[in-house]
Amino acid sequence: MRRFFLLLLVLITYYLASMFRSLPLLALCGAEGFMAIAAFILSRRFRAGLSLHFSQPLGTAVVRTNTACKVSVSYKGPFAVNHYRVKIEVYIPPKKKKKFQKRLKGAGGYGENELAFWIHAPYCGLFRLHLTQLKVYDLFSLFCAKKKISEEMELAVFPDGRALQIQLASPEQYGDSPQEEQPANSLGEASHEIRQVREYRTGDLNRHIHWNLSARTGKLWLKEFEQERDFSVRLYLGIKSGFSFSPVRQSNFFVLLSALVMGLLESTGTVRIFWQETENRQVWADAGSVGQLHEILYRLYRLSAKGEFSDSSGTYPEKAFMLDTDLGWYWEESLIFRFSPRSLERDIRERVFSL
Amino acid sequence: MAKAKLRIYPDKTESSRSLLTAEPLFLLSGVLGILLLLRQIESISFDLWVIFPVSVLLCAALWYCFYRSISLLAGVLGLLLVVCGFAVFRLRDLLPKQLWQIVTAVSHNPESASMEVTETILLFAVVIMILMFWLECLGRCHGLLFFLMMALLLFSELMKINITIGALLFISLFQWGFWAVRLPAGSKGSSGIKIKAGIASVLLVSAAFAAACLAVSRFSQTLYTPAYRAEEFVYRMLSGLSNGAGSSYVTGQISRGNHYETGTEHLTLTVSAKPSETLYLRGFSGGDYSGETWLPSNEEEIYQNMAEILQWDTWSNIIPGLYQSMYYVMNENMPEDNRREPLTLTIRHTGSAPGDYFTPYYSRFINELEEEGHGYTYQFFEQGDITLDWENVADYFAQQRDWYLSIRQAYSEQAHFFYTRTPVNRIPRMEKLIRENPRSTPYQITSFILRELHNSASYSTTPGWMPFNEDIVEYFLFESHQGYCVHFASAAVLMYRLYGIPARYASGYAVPPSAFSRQEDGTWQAVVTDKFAHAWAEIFQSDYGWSPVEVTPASDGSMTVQYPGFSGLHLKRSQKDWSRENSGSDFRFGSNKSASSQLLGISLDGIRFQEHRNLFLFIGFGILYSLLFLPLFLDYRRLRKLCRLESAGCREIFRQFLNMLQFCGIASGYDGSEPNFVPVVLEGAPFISQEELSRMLEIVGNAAFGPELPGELQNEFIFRIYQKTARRLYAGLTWHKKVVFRFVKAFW
Repeated sequence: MRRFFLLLLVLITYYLASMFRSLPLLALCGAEGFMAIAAFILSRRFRAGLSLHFSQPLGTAVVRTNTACKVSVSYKGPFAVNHYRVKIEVYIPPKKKKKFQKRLKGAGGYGENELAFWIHAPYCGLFRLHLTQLKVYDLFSLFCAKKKISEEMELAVFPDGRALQIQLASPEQYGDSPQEEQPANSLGEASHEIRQVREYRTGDLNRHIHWNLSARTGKLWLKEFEQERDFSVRLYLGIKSGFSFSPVRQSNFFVLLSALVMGLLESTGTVRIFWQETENRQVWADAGSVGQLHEILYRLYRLSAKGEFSDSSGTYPEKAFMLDTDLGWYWEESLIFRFSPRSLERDIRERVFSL
Repeated sequence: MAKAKLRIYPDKTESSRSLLTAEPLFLLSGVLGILLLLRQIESISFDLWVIFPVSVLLCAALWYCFYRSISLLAGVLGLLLVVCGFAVFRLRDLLPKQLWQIVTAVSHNPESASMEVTETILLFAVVIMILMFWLECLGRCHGLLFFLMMALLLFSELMKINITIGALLFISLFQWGFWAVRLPAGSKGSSGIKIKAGIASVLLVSAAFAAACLAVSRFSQTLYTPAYRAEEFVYRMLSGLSNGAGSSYVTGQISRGNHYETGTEHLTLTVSAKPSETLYLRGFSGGDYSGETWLPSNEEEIYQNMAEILQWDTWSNIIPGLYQSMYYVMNENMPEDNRREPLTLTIRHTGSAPGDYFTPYYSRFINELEEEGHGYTYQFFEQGDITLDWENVADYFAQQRDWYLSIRQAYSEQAHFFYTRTPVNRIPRMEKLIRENPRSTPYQITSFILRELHNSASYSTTPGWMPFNEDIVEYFLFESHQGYCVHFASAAVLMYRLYGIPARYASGYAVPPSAFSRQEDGTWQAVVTDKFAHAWAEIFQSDYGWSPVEVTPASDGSMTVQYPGFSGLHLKRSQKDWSRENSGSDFRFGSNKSASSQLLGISLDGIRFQEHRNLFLFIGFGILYSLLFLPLFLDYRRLRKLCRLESAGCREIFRQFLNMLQFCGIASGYDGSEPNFVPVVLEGAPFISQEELSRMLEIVGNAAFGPELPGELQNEFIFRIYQKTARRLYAGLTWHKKVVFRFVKAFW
């Protein structure tokens, strides 16, 4: 639009300059013509010098809150890029079709800069953010040079940490001794359980670094173990096939799972969560803190995104809670309560469960 | 929840306002550009050295207030409006006069005398600065201002206000610079980027202008051509749509634009023998000159006056017929040895304007054709066949000759009255030219006019448009120096009239002999298109009546003039000769400059001192402006110092803390290491607690001698104590110490 507007003005000016034989106006037209050419060249130079990538390959956010994300912008070229636009597309795996797209504007001087933006996710789960197209404008925003880019970032959106109000009359009835069998656990240590994962600080022991998570996230994370703890409660996840294809349904399940675990943690030391991956391989992980819960949720998000859950419906383990994807909460075979997707938030907030 | 949408939105937390940025400079550039344009209006003058500094000061003040807080800006804007209102009230007698002077100067009224309008321009500068600041910085609508600035430049050209390269550059910097520094909201490090983008835009605009000026000064004529071609194409297309050109060939309208031909057929001429010279067919004769138009000659009034003079009473109605054929009949009745055979001309209208009549010179109307269409027949003599001798006529014709002499005398008196009138106030430069070059005989006058036209103007059908506030003929003769037949003819007629020779502007067709081709029946025929449309001057000589004078040069620049009673003049010179003659002429034409000199000659001449300016006044105003700027500068310096101090580290803050205490007469001579330092300071500054001071000393001691540098929290603590102490000490100072404390020492 600006280009069209300017072209029109230049044509009018040129016409009048010629008709009135006005050298100053002709010089003005000529200068504007030269500037347009220079602007076109500059937009190409700016494009060549500008590169963008996400500051972190993995980000976390809390559902329905604004979370800041950053894109690192590196510019090595003349002057400063005073206007560029980048297109961000958001996918919800495993679907390939984009869910949402947005163009963000920014500017950057020579060297490293950053483009910050806020993201507001309405439901839990794993989101993939793609930087797909960069438009770099010249100094006067007359011409833009496009560039295809392919930068990706995962955003794990967790529930808000609200706990279900559960009153256990005799907690021991629902729990196990911690010194029971210790099958191989992908997250836990052989002799100690991880209490939480936190960022690495100077002075921490190197052997406690969580190398897997650090490699995935690009930041150093440290495992904190706890020697002593109370009994643990077992929670089986009854996940049905097809679960991963409905983001809203998936979000409801994870919100309830989070609230249930947080509620149980108020009465017990650890919640041991079981689920079945492909080939009916049963896997478990202990959640003793919010950090551990988030780690488990992230793992479940990835499994859901890949569709690697196996159908575990109809299995009712003994002396354990179960939560199925229809939002039914069971103790052994008996249904404690079936949550409705419509009133889930209210039930979590207001309903008290006395067991 | 299912209906909730994912949202991404930009982070706009970083403020885009920064004191150090290019925006105020570009704003100032725009205002200065407008002032330089105003400076070029003739007949007004104002003191740039008063208005420029005020503009600079105002721009700096507005930006500073904008940077500090919007509420402060609102207060200052309100105050400015009040001051402007007060100024308008105080200058209520002067401002209307100055405004009227500016309006008349813009409209190029030749009667307006020069006037000083500094007060009005100053008020205008203040108002325009406020408006532009409002639109740019608060409204962020640069597009509108870009358009308005462009419109201002175009309007200046239309009004023939000389656009200096300085004004053009300043305005362009404003137009393009703001686009460059207008960053997306929330851009990190926007201040630095703006400065870089601003510098880049200045470099780019300057380089582009330098290149454009070079190109334009060398190739201006080539660059104009595409626009003329485009205009010609559109003109022909529109003419085709309207089925041929209009009847502009029989009006006295003097075109302000270019002239294009369409090839439309207008007339078919049939002559009994091939003409030996150009056949002039007059469709319009001009009477009074009204600036843009020649009004039709009022021959009816002349004939009425002639009837009264001649007192022919019942025969008065035959006077027009007698007069119109008088010279033809006289020539026809010359003695046999001088007599020539007349030609018979039949005119058929094939195109537009069928109601008009085109008349050859020295002719007699024969009859209307009875065939379809509009046609009529004349008999006429060519100019070369006019052999009038009023004394020697045959006896049978003596009586009629005597009547003709009476008519000739009466018409001559009337022609001298009606056709020597000129609106002198419209053409002052031409009047001056004639006054400074007196000529007595018709031969000298014609020679002078032809030479002036030949030397001062060249023929071009694309002279461009002429400004709307200038007289066309004066502009043609003294400024543009380019034109075509209507301009040459109009200029010649006015000059003839100024010399007292009756002259008329005539338009119609000029058909050369080469246009005629022989027909099977022995006649000669020519198809007249708009290519033959022409305008010329005609002068009245008692012996020969109205004769056409060809004052338009040929395409090669040569001029050949011959008419009855004039022995002929042929002018042929190259362009080089023309330039040389022109520079040596008695009369210096207004602005006959080459392209490059026109461009370079206008460079920044607006910023120069006038001879009558007093240097002491200039210095005085310089000091005054410096004093006005001083508070802004000092406050800016204070803020910068405090910013640097905040990030300087605890030792630097403590050093400044000691300086501040000592300035207030507390702990003079102490450096903080003395054992009684704490009680001494607490005595002078009881609002600091002992714990705070002790911790401060401990942190500074650790910073100086400890193994680790203090952290951010410790630095913040020191700076907080410093600020608290400064605020409390400042409150207790006298006013002059407060000024030094705050603005000179920059403690708080």
